[in-house]
Amino acid sequence: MLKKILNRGEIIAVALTAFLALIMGGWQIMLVAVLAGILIGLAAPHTKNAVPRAAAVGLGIGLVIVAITSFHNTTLNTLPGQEVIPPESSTLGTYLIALGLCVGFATLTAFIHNLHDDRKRQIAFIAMLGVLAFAFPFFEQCPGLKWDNFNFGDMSAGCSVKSNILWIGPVIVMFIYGLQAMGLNIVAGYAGLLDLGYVAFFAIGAYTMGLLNSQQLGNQIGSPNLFVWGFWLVIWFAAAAAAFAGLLFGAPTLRLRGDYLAIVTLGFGEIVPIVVKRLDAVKIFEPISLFIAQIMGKTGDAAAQASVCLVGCFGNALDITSGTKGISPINAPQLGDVYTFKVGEFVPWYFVALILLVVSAFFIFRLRASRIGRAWVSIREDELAANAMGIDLVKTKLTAFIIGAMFSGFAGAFYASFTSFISPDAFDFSISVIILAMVILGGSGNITGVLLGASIIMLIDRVLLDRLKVIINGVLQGVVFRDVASGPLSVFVNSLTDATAYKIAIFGLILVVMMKVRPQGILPEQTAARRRPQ
Amino acid sequence: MDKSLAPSTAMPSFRRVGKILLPIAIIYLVLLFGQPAGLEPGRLIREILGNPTILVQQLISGLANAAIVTIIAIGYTMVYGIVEMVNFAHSSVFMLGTMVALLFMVGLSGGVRTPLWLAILAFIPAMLFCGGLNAVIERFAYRSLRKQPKIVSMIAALGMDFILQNVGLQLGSFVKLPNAFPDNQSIQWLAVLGNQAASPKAFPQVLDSVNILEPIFGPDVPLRIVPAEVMVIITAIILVFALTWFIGNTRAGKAMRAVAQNPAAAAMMGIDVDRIINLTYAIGGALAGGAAVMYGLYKGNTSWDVGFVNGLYSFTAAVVGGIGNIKGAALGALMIGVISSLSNQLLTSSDWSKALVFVILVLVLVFKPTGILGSEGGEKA
Repeated sequence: MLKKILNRGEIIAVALTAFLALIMGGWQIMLVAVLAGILIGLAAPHTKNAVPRAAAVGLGIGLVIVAITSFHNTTLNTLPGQEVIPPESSTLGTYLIALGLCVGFATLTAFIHNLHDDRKRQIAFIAMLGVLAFAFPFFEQCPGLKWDNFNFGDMSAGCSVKSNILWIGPVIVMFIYGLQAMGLNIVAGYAGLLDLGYVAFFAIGAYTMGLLNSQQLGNQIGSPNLFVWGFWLVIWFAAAAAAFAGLLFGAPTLRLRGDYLAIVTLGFGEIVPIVVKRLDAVKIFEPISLFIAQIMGKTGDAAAQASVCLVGCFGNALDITSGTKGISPINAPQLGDVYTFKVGEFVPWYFVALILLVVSAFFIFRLRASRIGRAWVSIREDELAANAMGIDLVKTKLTAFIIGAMFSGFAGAFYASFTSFISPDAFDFSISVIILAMVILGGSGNITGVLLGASIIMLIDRVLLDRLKVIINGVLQGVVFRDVASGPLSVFVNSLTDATAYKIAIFGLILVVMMKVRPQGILPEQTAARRRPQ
Repeated sequence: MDKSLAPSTAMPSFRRVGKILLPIAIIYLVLLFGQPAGLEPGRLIREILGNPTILVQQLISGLANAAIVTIIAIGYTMVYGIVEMVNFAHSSVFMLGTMVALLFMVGLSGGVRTPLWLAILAFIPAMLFCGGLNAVIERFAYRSLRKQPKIVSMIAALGMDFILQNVGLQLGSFVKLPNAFPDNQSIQWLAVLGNQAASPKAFPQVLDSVNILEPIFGPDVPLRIVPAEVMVIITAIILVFALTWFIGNTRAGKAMRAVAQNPAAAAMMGIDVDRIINLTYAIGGALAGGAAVMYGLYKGNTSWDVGFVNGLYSFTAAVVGGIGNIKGAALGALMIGVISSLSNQLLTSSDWSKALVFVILVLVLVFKPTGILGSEGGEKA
């Protein structure tokens, strides 16, 4: 019945957005409506009446979303433990705006999707996404933004009532991970090298920022500001450090076969946090004099006095990384004397991350089309043939590794400054696999796909599971265990149904299912052979 | 291209000096930057000379570690030998095996001291569970991917690994069940799962922690061997011999060797290749289950993340010995076991042992990727 009216893409759009509307509610209806509109437009068939059809479907789905959201606002939200939804975001006006957004974006996207000129279509899409990305922070934060009290840094200061959930923080993290996914895409997607320790470069970038843009080192030398070099300078150092680590790790190992390479990179990903964790009391002597002193039987301070000291031997050992405690605070970027970024004032961060992402995407896009980019892909497709055509395998793979590492370095540096705190725990093996899952899910080798994968995974990671947890908890407390709300049984069931506890399994499942069902990803790479005929 | 072909008569002496200087420079740098890890040869030599029994003592505990590592490593090496795939999920199968063994031992003894026969009996459920689990994973996750590029099944295995780790983590939630039904005495033993999902879970102490050398050599004997060490070593030897017998003397074992050498030819000879591969996974899994019980009895605790480190050590052992080669796995495990227990003792933190094992892995892969006993495409399984 439903299949007769809607096509497959539209059914997916309905199911997805209905689910989102159900668990989000409140002001989030705006985001859900825009998303629904875009999905409907993309799913529109290539026929003459596609645009009016999309508008009609958009209206229908918009109504569904409004109905579900009002159900959420009036019913689900009364369960215990839910966020407060400001009354402004559940008025008829809000619903009408959401309906309009849904229809409008469905129409617009369907129109763009049906443009015949490939180039025009691409530019129109990018323009639409650009406008959306630019507008996002301005309408995301609150229902009823008051422009007379406008503060660029903290938009919610101008809100009459704050939105119940802030999306902008997760979206910035999504950009950071998107940047990393694009970098890993160079290594794994273009060059076909399975890198399971990509987080190592992220960590190196982050710690470079942490060491050179905080008082961590300076405090111990006695001049606190000696190693506070500023965000805009250090981010280049961080990228360079990560790229250098890529060279260091890659040079000996890139001759290895694919499966061995995976293990070795996994090792690097594991070693870097260990090293970082243990560099909290560093004493370095000149090895030969130390050897002689220790062989003579001197230990501790006696050995230190008898040998040549290089770093932190007398008094306190040099605490480079603060071990598991981590480095904090890391300085934020400054725009001259005009404005200093602050933790919690998300909008400026958002735009820096967006610029970083867009510029990197453009750079990688052009790189892919260049000689070296084509060499990467040819190595992935057939190493032997590529070698026969005169491509230096190790050098080309090494370039992929280094450039991929560089982008992770940028991401790490930004991340360190953004969170103002880094510790080794933030760089464990699961991060490598999450980034890999982004590349695999979206479509390895395709920047758009990879960014899509990053958005989906980060959405699950940072928003969806948390929301699901709150809602499931609410249903359990308010409906199932209403009489024994905090009894031991409900504690047990709560911990068993805690959606966030299944995070790792969900990412694992994504990997397995994608490999079995669609190993090329949601949006596969458009190689010359696969490009659709005009 | 190859620079040695170019006429370079001007530089030979420089190159010869460089050949000597480069290793020296590398060693110097390693000693310089290895100091935070405790890599101070002077101190190490003093410590070992001052108390030479350290070496023997660590050799013994290294042997016990190696016994466990061997059994896990064989699982990796058998699967690699037959389908050339690194089964990342193997380490988590092992981890779940420790959980099953723990629940079996504690559940059946009901809170009182677990008798030895029950601990030995625990091998049966652990091995059956892990073998079955590995076979099921092979059947439903890997089998259809075998014809695809290797990277595809490796990623699937990685995903499987994550799923199993999460299962191991979530098992801990059941610790809240006894609170929910305080009157039900039959489930109170679930408290063994620890306070939180991620907290380590203690195994019951089955074997006393006494020095078995004391009754023989008197109380002043400098070495210490506990019964658990003897037990894991004996168990490992039994398992390895049973496996070698199985592969060498049974029809299924012969079929496994045939499939490892040439699957197509084996299929033509009427061997059901799918079934044999499945069997290989099952046996590898069963061994992981055996290793899990050994691990529990020897180390005395487990948690959801024990798979990672042990899997890493075992995989390294398999590669060092020559992947695809069972004897090599045992030899590699011996090396890794001894090195890791020595470095646990002598370096500043056991974290560095992990790093050290990784460095060994990288060095072996870079300089001798076939391992000690392996030869390219040679003896397998």
